Amino acid sequence: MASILLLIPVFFPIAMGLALLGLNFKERRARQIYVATVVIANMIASIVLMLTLKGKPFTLVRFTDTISITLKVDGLSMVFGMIVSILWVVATFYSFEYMKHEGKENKFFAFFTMSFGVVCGIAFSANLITMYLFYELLTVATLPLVMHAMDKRASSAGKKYVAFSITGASFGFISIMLLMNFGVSLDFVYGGILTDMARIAGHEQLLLIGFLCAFFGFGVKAAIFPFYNWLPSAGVAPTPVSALLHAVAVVNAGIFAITRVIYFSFGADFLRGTWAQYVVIIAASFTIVFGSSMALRENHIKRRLAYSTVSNLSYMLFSLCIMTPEGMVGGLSHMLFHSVLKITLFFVAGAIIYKTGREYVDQLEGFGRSMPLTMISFTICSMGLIGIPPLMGITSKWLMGKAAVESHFVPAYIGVAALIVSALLTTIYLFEIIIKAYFPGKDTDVKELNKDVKDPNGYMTIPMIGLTAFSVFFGIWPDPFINVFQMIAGGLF
Amino acid sequence: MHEMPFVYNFPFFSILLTLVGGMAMPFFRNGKVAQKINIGVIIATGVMNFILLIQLATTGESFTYMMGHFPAPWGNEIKAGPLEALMATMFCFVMGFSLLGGLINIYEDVPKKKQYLYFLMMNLLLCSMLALIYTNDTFTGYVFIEINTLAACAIVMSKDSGETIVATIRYLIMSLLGSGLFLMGLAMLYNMTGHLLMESLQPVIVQMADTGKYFLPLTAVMAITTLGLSVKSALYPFHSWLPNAHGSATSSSSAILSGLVLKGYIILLIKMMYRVYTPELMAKLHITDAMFVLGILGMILGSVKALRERHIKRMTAYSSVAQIGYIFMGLGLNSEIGAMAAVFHIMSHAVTKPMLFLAAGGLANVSGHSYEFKDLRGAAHRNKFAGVAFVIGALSMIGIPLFAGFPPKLFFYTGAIQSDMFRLPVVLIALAISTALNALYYLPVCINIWRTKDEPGHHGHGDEHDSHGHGDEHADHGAHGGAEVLTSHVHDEEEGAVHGGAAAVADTAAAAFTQNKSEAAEHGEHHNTRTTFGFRASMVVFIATNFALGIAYGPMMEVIKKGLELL
Repeated sequence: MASILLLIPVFFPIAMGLALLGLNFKERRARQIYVATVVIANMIASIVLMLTLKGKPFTLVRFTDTISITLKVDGLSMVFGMIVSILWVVATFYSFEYMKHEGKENKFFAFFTMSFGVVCGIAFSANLITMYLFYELLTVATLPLVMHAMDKRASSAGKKYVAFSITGASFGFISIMLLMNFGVSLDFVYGGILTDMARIAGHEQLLLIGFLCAFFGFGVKAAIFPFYNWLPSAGVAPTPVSALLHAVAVVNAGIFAITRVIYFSFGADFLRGTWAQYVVIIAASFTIVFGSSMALRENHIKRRLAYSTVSNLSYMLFSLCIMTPEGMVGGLSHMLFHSVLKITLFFVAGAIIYKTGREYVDQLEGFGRSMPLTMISFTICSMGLIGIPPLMGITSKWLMGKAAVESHFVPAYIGVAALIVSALLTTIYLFEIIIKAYFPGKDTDVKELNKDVKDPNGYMTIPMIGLTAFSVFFGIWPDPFINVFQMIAGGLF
Repeated sequence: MHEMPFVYNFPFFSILLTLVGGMAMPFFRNGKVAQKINIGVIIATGVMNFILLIQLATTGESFTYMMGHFPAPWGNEIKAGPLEALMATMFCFVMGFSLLGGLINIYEDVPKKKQYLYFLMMNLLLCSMLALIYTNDTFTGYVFIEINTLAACAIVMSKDSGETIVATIRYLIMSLLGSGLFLMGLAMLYNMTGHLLMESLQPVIVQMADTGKYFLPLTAVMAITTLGLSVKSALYPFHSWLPNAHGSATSSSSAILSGLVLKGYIILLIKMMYRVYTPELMAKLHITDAMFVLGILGMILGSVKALRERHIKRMTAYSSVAQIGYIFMGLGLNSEIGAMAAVFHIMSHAVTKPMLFLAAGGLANVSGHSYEFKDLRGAAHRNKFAGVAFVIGALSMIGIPLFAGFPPKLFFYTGAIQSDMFRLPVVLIALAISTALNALYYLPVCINIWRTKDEPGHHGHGDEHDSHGHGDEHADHGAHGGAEVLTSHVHDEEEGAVHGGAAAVADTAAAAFTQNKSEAAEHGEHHNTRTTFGFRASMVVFIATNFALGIAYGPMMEVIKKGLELL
């Protein structure tokens, strides 16, 4: 029963976070050491356990024969788990510095730590019910983070977040219930659980509607149109939350859930070529262009990045909805690459807000000179996100496009067009910032304007520079990741 | 009957014991003594019913028990199966811990001289609910409905403020409307069939339905008895009395009214449905359709109302309207699994809602006795047990796995998927929306009560709330007069129509409560920042029960299934 250790990465941070609420450190230093220890320990624990306990389930609670709360690691869990564990540590160090100016650090770090456990729970869940449990808990655990400022705007953003997320999850639950009634079990099995043809005969349409409920329900966290609105609003949260949760953990949980639903529950074979696939591909393609256009219109840096996330999440959804192993590879690689790039971009936005209090794109003139390290990270990661070879980002876009074309599925071609249009829009909305930063207008007195502006300290710059270096290195040499993704999509890992 | 096991006497014993216990209280005229008797009676009946439950669940039997020796058709019978025993056990359990958790508030809210009467009413309430659960005779059911109504009104009014008096009057009017409808239905039923015992009624009704004889009157009877019980259990849109009554009463009263009293009527309705009318006939005559539609409306609109509340107890009360909607929706699904889900939901709501009300009371105790959100900011830091319990209760209400609210949701969904094409989409969508609405009003409150001190807009538990208390007293005097006139009218009618003895007991008690004017309530005068052991214990027990129901729901569902079959 070594698999009982799987409880550690899930419940250790939750317990420690709750303990932090009770401990209420008076000294910042003591709290930082405590949080850093917990988060690093948990990262190590989760990585070690993912590598050693793969495929061994642990049942925490068994309700009935088919329904249980079970944890298990498989290839997909590892991808999500690794991304989250490593970025969580990075974001924690970044937060140490950033949260100094937001206040209420004790509460912040308590829920920040708890969310880590909950996200690990999503990653390691072995069946739909477990995933649903942690999915709901994720909303609950991150709500205090979104509402951190506790003013009117934060509170209304929080309510919006709850309304969208919980409604989404409950629509997702509809599909879980349908799968429970028509599937052979609720466990995640590559290829799906709708294998008993006699059972599903005559209910195909109902199941397809159920699939749409799952797609748009879990898609709320992945900000699919028309349920994207909470994400830009949630930008009122402190920047580490925007960076880690609203560019990586929470939104990727949505992507992860949809991957589970498509490839491990309904099964790609069951869905491929149905009208439901048309619907989801078109929705994703539309969101790709829509998100990019909205980002272009948005002058607030964090909201611009949030809309960019909306668009990029739909890249992944589009690729997953091609419903071929190649599509899954494209989606997963974009999940990884986008996480690294977008968290860095948010870190940059946070650094700017933290040092200068400026939140709008217009106010960044001349920042290339004033905050050199920050703006270099921004520039490199932006170019990665746009997909300029050989940086990170081009690989995943290439894989997605290739998968779409090879699928010979008509709506997928629309998606390819959307990818191209969106790449163009991405270039415009990101380069606008870069150009402003490096080539300020002639009339503006940059020296006077940016008198006190300088790079933040190591807590913030090291994560940014580190992630940028990571993105460059693995942008040029993405093979190890792609190989793993291909094995997962082949059902081998 | 000769070889009847001794435990088969327990339903009768427990009803009798609660009555006798209540009658003993006036001899002492002391709240503390009455409380001890009350708790003793609850424990004794709880244990008896639990033993009975074990016996019936293991043997899978049900039995009828004749009280007195009136032959049919007038007999006075008890019928008990696993379902009845389960419900009775749970009622005793929840009532005991609701009282324990709210004791401090009872002693603060209820004037000293009347405290023993409060516990007397509790005894009567338990007695009538046990009788509603166990009765095999529709008229006995009616009698105990009335006793239940009076006792329930008394425990609302016991707080003795203007607000509660007004709430009680509304409650009384709606309740009497409900029981009046039920009585009318019974009278017509007796006219048509000549029977009052559930067992004898069913074949006659089935036969009438087959032959088409008395078709219209029969439909009317079924509709108005169901309607009567729906009004009493606050099915939307007959819920208008509930938020006031449950929102203004003392915490224990709110807990018991929301958690148990509403359910007593629903259990009677389920018994009527299964043992008298048969579910098939209910479905054929579209009565379950009506229940279904109103249930769905309640689920959504109750929550919408709750969303707009800024008063924690009224919000929780509106949430009850939504939860009652769930139960009726389940009964309206026309399937066994729907009914099972409904019964389970009765249980999970019965252990969750009292916890929420008590926690709300506990939070208000440390916030200057104010239930407004703005005054409750950070209250959980002052009363951690209440804070934790409230959050757990909220998560359970949303229906997150591992909590008691999850299993019924699971079964409602399953029931919906197996039902017809009209109900399926409606239920699925309504459940999804209702879940989100629950989250939307509970979670912000959870965050609000756990706000830390350094957050803007924080209100301490300062003395500024004292002014509220004085304002209320003026309202008290105005409302008292009206209350007395109305209650005495009502009681006159009662004595003519029903059980003289029980009504008389209720009458003196209710009158005694209303007479109290000289002793102004002391609320708002001193702020309690301590929590009693009883409160903490009851919170812990409720939390544990919540998890127990949420995790080990399998065996419970077996008992419910068996119980419904044996009904």
